Amino acid sequence: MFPFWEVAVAPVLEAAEARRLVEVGALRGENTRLIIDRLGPQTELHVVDPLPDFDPAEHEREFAGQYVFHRDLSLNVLGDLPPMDAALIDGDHNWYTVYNELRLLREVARAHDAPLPLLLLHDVGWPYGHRDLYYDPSNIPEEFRRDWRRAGMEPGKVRLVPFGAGLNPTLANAKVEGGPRNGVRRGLDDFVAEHDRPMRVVVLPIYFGLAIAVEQERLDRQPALAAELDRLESPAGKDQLLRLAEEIRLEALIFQHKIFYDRETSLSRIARRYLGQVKERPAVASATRAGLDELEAQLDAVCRELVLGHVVALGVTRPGPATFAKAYLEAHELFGRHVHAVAADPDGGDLDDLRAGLEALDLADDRVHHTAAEAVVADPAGTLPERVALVLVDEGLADGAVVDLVLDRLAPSGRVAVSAGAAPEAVAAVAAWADRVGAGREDGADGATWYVAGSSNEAGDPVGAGPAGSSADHAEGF
Amino acid sequence: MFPFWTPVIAPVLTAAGARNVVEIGALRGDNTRQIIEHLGPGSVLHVIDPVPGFDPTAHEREFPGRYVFHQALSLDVLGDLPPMDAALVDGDHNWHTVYHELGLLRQVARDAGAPLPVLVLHDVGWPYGRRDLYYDPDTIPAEHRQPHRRAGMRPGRRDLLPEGEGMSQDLCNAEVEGGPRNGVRTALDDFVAEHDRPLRTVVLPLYFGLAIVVEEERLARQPALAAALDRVEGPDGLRRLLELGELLRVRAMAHHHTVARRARDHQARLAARYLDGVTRELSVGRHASDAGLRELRRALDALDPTVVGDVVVVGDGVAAEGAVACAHVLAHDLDRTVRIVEASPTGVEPVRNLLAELDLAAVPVEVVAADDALGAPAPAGPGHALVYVATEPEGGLRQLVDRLVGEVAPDGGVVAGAAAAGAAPRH
Repeated sequence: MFPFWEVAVAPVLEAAEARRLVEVGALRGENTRLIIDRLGPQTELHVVDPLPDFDPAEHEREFAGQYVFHRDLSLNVLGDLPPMDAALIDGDHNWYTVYNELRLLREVARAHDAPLPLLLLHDVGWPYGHRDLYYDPSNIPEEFRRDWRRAGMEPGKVRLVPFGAGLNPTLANAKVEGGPRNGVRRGLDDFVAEHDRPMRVVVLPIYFGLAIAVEQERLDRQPALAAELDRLESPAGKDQLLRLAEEIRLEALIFQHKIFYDRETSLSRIARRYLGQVKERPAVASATRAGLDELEAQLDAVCRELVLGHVVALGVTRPGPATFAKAYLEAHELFGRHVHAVAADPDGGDLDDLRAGLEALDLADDRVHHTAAEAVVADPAGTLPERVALVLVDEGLADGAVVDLVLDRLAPSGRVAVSAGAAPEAVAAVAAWADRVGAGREDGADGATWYVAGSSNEAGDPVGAGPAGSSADHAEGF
Repeated sequence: MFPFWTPVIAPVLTAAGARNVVEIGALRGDNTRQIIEHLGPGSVLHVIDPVPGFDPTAHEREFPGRYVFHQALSLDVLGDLPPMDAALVDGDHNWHTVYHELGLLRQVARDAGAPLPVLVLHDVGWPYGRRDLYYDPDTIPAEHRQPHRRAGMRPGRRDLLPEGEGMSQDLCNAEVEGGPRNGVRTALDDFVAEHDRPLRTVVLPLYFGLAIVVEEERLARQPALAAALDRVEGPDGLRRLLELGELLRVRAMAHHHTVARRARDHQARLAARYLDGVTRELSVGRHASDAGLRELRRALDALDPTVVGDVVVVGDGVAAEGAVACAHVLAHDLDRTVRIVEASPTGVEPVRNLLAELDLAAVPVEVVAADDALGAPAPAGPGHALVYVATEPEGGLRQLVDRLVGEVAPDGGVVAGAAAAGAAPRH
């Protein structure tokens, strides 16, 4: 609840004239110094944490006589403490723990004839307001433990999400959100409903939610505290919270961008290394190193320019380029893009080398399709992908009609490579297409010719989905 | 500005009785259908976007006569449109564009004797409220173009950040934040200051900031609109906005976790492919046994990434094992040093040569002979995350291995390999 300190926690504790406080769940101990510095030398702070992320001995030395650390579960400790003026609750985020923490705080107060402490609870909003989290499920009696699983959460989804997706996928989260005895907010609500004196509860619905709960009697006695709560609920207070919330959101966004871009850089570096290895393998030896470097650069361009569609290899007597293209798609996990190999007789040996090469590189899967040229002519829509990003025209395919059918499907800015040994009919079909659409032409390695379709050829669709992992994933919606 | 639609924009447009609306900048066209359906029959929505991320013809077919798409820059279009009841401005986020968009909207209204449209502007907060962004700097006249660069931004920093830091690193952002003629909010402020009739401006400081600007005359004529603005700024309205901001924050957070997790898994798969290649090359080249290298890889894969410390590979002729350890550190982008300890001084050179051959020199690596390692003081720092003993340690090597085992990181460091059975870690 650290970010709430200036805007809410400090002014409320001051107005409540809190002298003795307990903090349940201290994370890295950031609050300790803030509390003692702000509330002065008479402050007595008890911190309860079974697994502190800091060295409490340092605080004990620095704040000798003012600071008591309890390395234990809150429910084992709270009943034995003296009555508190205020309690900051940010420990185990589940109904059982929170409800009983509040109950123990009240019991101690009653036993000493003291008023209920001012209660500040973090995580009353999403995700744990109405869903239990168990840091250690075995700490919670079975009858109060909801069904849980280590899986992530998404806002608006009552159930957990699979496959490591969502928020906090490694924590033990209740399988279902909502319902009785589930979540921190529910723990507070149940406590307040049972409480025999009127209470005021103010909820600040930002940064996972902070609740401030205080007895009405205390507000009557401490008008400054009532005024602080009024301020937080006023338009000016809400405006201040809005600004704070936006600050917190932007900070997180920048952190997320950094992680995202660092990972992208790292991924592309390793992909390049892996592809460098592939270029040395016998499976692609039918292509030269220069030819494969060029193909990699063209595939990079296809991704960078968000050119939609699949890779089609026509002929494939030299399986090197098609094999490498599959390795490229695999390395970058562009699983939406497949490789379609079209040969005169795909099952009669024409594609055997390609199959063997893919096998050797552990790249053979159902994202490679082997099709007969005849079948393409008979049923283009049933055999060819709807959209093609890159075409490799090799020797061994002399049917200009097949070339035409594939080029009809070429995406704007799509690439076509015609190898030096390509059949004259195929060469002529590509040249005619290039003239018709005004495609750019470039000489490539090994006597190949590369063509680039215009950015808005007759296919004409605008750019849509980017490749998996492109920065489109992280568009921020300005 | 899509998230503002339901709580803010829709009620404001309703209260304003808007029939003719222009949307500048439509992103993926997410809210087009919502807007058209909300405005109802007889209304017309003009959408302007030079590079739409969607197919506008679908909407044109679905809403004939009620949806007009203009694939052009806003400043080339707005002057030719009929007067509008409302304008949603979320196009190119710079002073020149926004200031002149507002100017054209007013000009068209004046020429037709119509009132100023209700103006709704996105991105009046950070980062582009006081800093220009140019989607394509060539479209902005030089005299209105701030010095700019593709570099990231951070709140509270006027200057752009060094490479690889901050938000929106790949966009053309003005070098400096603030000052005259810089940013969306400045353009709005300049427009408002020059406007010859009193205006009410409502600014909502969340999700990059939204501003609503309405002439007081219109508010006097349309009390429902004044009431709608009062509601947005009232306690309940603000509470809804707080909740909206939190929802956007946690949603982005959950999305980020999912994306990060996916990228981590991707990296693990890619690293495995690369390391398979390294292992194959080394065993084919007879540098080492395939089984031995696979055992080392298992030990490296099993290592808890949170355990701090280096990776030590020790033995007699461990070039291949050392190379695999280096390739692992590189492929997983780990913050670990690799220490390769050869039994004999003559073994050091072949290790270095192999690392160079496999292009692994970029990994922080230290290659030493056992005697030199024994003579040196214990390395400072957290100790070893992994000690991999590649060959049966004999003689002087035994002594060194014992010492290395004693230096294993107390929190989770491991010993593996040929001599692991004989050597127990300290903890």
